[in-house]
Amino acid sequence: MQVKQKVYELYKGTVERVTGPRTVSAFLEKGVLSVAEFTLAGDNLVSKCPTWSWEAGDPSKKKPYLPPDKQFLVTRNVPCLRRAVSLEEEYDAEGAEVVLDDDEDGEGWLATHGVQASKAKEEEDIPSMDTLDIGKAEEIKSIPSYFGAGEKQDEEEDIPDMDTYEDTGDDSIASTQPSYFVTEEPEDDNILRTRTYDVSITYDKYYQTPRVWLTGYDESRMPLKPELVFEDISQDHARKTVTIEDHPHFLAGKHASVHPCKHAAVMKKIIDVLMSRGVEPEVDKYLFIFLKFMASVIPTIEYDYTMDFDLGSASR
Amino acid sequence: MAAKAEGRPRPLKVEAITSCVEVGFGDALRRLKLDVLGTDDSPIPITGYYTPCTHAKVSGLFRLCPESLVPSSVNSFGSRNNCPVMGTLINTNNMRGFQNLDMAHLLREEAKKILHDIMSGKIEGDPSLLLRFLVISFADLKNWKIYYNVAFPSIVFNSRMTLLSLHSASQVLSQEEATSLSKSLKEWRSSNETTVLPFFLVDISSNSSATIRQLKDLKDCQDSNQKLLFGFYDHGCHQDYPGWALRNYITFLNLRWKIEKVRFFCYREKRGGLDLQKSLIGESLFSAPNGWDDPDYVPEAIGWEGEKPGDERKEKKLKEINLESMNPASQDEEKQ
Repeated sequence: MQVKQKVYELYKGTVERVTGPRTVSAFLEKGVLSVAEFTLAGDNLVSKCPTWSWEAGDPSKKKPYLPPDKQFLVTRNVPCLRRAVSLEEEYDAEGAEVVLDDDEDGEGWLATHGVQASKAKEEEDIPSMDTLDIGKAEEIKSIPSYFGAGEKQDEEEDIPDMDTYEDTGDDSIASTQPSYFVTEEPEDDNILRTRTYDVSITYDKYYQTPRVWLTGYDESRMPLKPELVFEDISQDHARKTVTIEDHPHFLAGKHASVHPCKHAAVMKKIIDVLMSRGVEPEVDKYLFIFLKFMASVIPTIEYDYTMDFDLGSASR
Repeated sequence: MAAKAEGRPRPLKVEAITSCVEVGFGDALRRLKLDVLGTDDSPIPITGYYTPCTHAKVSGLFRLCPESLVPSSVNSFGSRNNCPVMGTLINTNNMRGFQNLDMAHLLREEAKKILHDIMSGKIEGDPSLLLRFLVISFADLKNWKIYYNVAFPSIVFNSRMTLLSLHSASQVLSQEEATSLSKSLKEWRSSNETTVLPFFLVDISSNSSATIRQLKDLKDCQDSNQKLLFGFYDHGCHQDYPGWALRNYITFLNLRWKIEKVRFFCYREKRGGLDLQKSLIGESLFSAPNGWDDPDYVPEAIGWEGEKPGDERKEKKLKEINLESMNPASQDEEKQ
């Protein structure tokens, strides 16, 4: 497996070297992005969702076809409140999955639940493909409520690792015992298991699409073993479309990545749906649609892709 | 959602910072030791990256990453999501050296630097110096491991800091004030010049319009009858406690500007903008005792990460980064 992957990476690298970057837009026809379009869409994401930023990454891994300070996009410290596995058990009970692209490989993208399930409290945290109300030409406002609604209901849960310090002053300072620390020990069954993720988006020159990478941290902010990341990936994708690899812009560590081989096809399908409803999506909105689509693969990682503006121009 | 509206004065408690040390930092340290440091274990300046709380359920980041070890002369990394903070790294050559470090002494030395920066007026120019931090480490190159501890020094005086009140900002501000404050902070956070400054002044005039100013512009806030809040990027996400940064801030305001009663503003974000529910406005009371301004005075300090009541220093829990995935030998094994 490892060797096969290495050979493949070598092949892909060679193709990337000898072929020039895409310069002509094929966004509507093929669901792919040119380098300039990736930069444009990234700028738009950063300006609408400031939790995302452009970064340069390691200088030795700089891609010459991208601007030096805009090599990839990243949002850090994104909470992942529970495991995708537990989420899916609930969905199975609801019986409400929708296959978006069920091709012969059986690697179709899944929308994690149908519209009818979204009424339940548990589902409100989780973005769904179906509520991306693509057909309407009006402003799309449905997405922000996912985060807002979830926060209020979870408010009573404890925050883990809450060390508090009390300045008792007077007597204890000179003494050798640090008796002024007060620790709030969370109730055992009440600990919020909050993993966090750094989510980065790189440009994959071979597939001409964005590519998502995940770097996980456990509840005490120690790096998470990449294998454990699979617990936070929709089980239809774990170990199939999601692989553990070297990051194109970081020197160290192994990172989980959603393999981009199907990205263009799925994006093309979404674009077709939009077009059939009379909306021509604008290319600078690509990453918003893309991140919404990624949410079906990593349903419990609550990154920001708030969309409170038009997707594109209505042609009616 | 709202903070408990407790009115009675109580000792100020704050939420500690949990550092986030990336594998990339460990790898960069490994290479620095191999290529540059050798057996040199003298302190070197490093950079940490601080953010306010950005999500209701997790506190803000304090990261150490590969850029942390790039010398500050060439390090241009920094953005709204990565406010650079100066720190010190002491990398020892072996486990014994690491364990023999006098952690209490090292912490006091860092606290003394903070005290010096407060008194010299350096903080006004670079407020992030209030967040100065310390890392001690041992890079075990043979076993592909980095052992480390991080401290966020906070000066402790022989008198207590008292919290008089603490509320969610949404409860304290009028609608007009809240709207104006959100707008001003959005501008502050989107300007390259100010977004990396974690401490600032909030000036709310009698007509409810809010202006955000840098600490060095205090004189512009001291006329008329406006409300003055001492704002800071609060990493904490707890509704009943401000974050760690408040302690050194209060110390600064008292020692340097002789302010005993501080109205503070804990800035917290949601989706990249001000979160009025999570942000806190409170009032604290503190006056430093005599004697601290002696030039030889070495302050008491606290701040080793994870320090708990009754901890014996010798049994301090080490944190470690595993770099095994960088080991070419282990990668070869995987292939077979």
